[in-house]
Amino acid sequence: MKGNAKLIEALNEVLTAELTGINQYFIHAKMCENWGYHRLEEANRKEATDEMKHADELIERILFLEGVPNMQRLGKVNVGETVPEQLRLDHALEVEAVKRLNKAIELATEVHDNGTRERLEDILTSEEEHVNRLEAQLELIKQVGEQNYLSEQMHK
Amino acid sequence: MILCQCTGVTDATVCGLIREGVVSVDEIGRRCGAGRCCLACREAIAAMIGTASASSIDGGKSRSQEGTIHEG
Repeated sequence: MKGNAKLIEALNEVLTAELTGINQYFIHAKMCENWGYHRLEEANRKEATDEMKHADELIERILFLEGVPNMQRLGKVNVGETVPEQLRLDHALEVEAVKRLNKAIELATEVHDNGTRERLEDILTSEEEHVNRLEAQLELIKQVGEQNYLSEQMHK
Repeated sequence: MILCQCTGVTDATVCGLIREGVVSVDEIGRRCGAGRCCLACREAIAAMIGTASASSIDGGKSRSQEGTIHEG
């Protein structure tokens, strides 16, 4: 089914952000593994897997709309040197993702593509959960202190 | 933050060079290696230089080499 060109581009922009997110969470997972923070490693791996599932859905939708999924384009992967910095950078990534998704949902509504809107809304809900998790982690660090927080991240 | 994935150069290193007065992306690349391989971080380096320049202007200080950010 031929889709709206602007909406296909918007879906590709969301896809670029998801592909960037996969890489950012993955490198953070590997760094946490290297530092011995296995609980954080697992959480980051899960986030990377979630972003991969989103990318999967977006690619499928773009193809359905007879567009070309852009797998080449990648945003800047922001790698934190410490756990709190990683969390802040991941939070910034997710906040941007939420903004981008809301814009794409508006566009899908405008062009009366409810199938795409529904899929984007599902992804938005998932990204908001990521934002919530990250905000909770940052708040925990603020409340219990970085060292106490990190000491709870060593075991799965 | 690790700013340049190719070389592992951090934002702290780039900030240090900007504080020393480096206001060109190319010069930062020559001095520390950042932004010379895949080029993905050049935009971020340019933004850091821009932010430093803006805060310098806001602070009422002028920079002799301001506006010499080279892209490409």
